[in-house]
Amino acid sequence: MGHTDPLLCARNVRRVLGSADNANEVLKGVNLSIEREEYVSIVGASGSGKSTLLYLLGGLDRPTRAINGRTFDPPSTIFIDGQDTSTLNDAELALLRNEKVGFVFQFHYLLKEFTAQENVCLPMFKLGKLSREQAMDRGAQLLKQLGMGDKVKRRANRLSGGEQQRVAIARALANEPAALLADEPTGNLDKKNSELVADIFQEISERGQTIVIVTHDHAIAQRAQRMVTMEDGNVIRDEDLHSLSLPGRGPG
Amino acid sequence: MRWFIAFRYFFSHKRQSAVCIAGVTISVTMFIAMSAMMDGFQDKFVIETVESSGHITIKDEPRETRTPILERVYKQPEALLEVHRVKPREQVRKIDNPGGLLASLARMPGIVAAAPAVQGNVIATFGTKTLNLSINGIEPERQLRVTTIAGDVLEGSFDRLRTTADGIIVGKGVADLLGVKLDDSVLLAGSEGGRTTARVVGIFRTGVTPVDYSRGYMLLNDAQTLLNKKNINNEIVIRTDDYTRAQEYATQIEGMAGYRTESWQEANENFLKIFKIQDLMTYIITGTLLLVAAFGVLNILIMSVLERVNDIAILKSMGYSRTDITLVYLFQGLVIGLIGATLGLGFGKLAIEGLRRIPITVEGLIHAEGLLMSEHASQYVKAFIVSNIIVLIAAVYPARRAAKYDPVEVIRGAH
Ligand SMILES: Nc1ncnc2c1ncn2[C@@H]1O[C@H](COP(=O)(O)OP(=O)(O)OP(=O)(O)O)[C@@H](O)[C@H]1O
Ligand SMILES: [Mg+2]
Repeated sequence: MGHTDPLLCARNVRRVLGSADNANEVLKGVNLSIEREEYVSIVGASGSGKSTLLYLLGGLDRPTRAINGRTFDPPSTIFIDGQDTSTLNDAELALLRNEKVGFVFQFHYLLKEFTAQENVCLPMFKLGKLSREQAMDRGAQLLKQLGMGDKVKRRANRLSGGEQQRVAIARALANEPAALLADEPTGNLDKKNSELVADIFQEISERGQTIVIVTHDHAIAQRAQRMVTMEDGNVIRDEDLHSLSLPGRGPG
Repeated sequence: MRWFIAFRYFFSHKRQSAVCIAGVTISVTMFIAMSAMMDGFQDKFVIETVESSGHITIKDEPRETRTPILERVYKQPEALLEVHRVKPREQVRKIDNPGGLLASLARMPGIVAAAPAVQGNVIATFGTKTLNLSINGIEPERQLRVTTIAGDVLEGSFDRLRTTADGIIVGKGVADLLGVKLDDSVLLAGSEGGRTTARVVGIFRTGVTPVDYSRGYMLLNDAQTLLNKKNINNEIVIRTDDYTRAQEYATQIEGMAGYRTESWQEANENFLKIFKIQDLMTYIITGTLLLVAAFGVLNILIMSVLERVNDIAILKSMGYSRTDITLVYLFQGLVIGLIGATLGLGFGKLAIEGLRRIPITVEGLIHAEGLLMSEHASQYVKAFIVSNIIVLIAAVYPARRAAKYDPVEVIRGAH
């Protein structure tokens, strides 16, 4: 796992969904590398395979290795922090996710019986590096950083939608993941809350957090450093947005 | 961490969880109370039986049938033997050389005491009432060493047997059926023509109904005369150092004595079978209750899984494994099992103490004042472990179902 490897790497990634007689090739050989500290947005039409790619990059799903018994060349593979995920069993992949990846989805998926703080602590409890007290302290601190300092002990189902999404972001950041992967994190929020979430992403990106965000919101997509466009299961465009806004850096 | 999640989930279904716990508690309570009652009853029967009738009895039936005399002379199995003018000799059934047998028994390890006796049936008549009576002819000193019958005498005394000619001690049930009281005279008629008028010098109660309603004790000599078995012993009653090993000793003695030797277990086989059925009933009843409780657990856990598909998906996305999710649900089952079983043990104990205090007289296979409750630590342990295992088994299906959810499918489905 040398640090020269890209943090996340999709190599010739294929993904076939659906039943055998109704197979749907959702990703058709995607190649994509995400470097450390990059802030990447993925855009594209609905159904182009953005979510599918994001789940694969985070090890939540596995690429299709072969179609009708035929493998691909090069093999359809995902690397997370240099680790070839195809060599891991489900439990090992889960541990890798726990340690290296934080997911934020369109819906917050908070556990409603738990407080905001406890929700944030769940990944830390699983990782087990921090004691219960340390984890709870860190949970409270993360919530404070996201402007939720006064709602640490509030039950998750008694928070507003925007607050719930901020708890979900704090939860995704709990184990200091190598990559924060967000699938339409603002898709369910009003304009004000969307902006708030975008600001949070901007801020943590500036502190060196690697972020990949799938979004339909062009304004938010434009705030990333790099924008990947997908169409029909392929990456069709990969733009360095700094080259547009910052003169002096040539197009990539 | 899994416990943390399991507990929180558990408490979010307080009412349903309480119902499941109550189910487990009731079945454990029932099991403990019922088995204590059954055991109390059975233990009493066994103790009274072995104490009043001895642990082992040697009978007057030879173990091997005697081979005809000619076959003993001509050993060739093919030989055709013809015997004329055979006179059937009357075989008197008895234990040969009881003195020698008693001496051998005295040397056997594990044998505490042995007493020779004669046993036979007579018809007892008092006024207009008649009754079949099983007469045990005994030597009082030796009998005292093999049974506790002297201690069971309610009226009169065991010692008067020695000082009264043709004295008899009868069971309480016999006395009640015949209507005899102490010092009444009862007419006894043996099947071999012997008859006598015996004087009731004592009334005993062992607590074992079949004994109390059929038995009478007389001196060996008096009984031998009455039964027309002069100088004959047809039983030797034995006490061992451990009545639970009576069967084992009986087999040894049978080999040594050459007569059929019956342990108390063999003699009371039918009752022991009934006890087995009673135990089985206890298991069936409490097992059914437990099964109902287990279905309750299955039900609420499945509900809990269906309600929390999103939770399961997000837990998995943040790195919780299938094992973690399985354990979260097994733990929920275990919480119900542990609380329910613990409460059941407590209530079971209370039920035992309560039942013990009910002032009733039991008249059945045994006679007892109050319900006999026999507590065994093993019953508590058994109830606790079995109920937890059953509840845990009920949790397996929901737990596996929970663990199977594919987070990607769930998260896509939410859109
Ligand atoms: N279980 C499935 N079986 C077959 N096809 C599926 C299945 N799940 C998703 N798909 C298809 O895969 C394609 C890509 O889905 P994906 O969710 O990655 O798209 P997306 O780019 O994220 O779209 P959106 O912007 O609407 O979220 C879609 O055309 C969808 O219909
Ligand atoms: Mg999508």
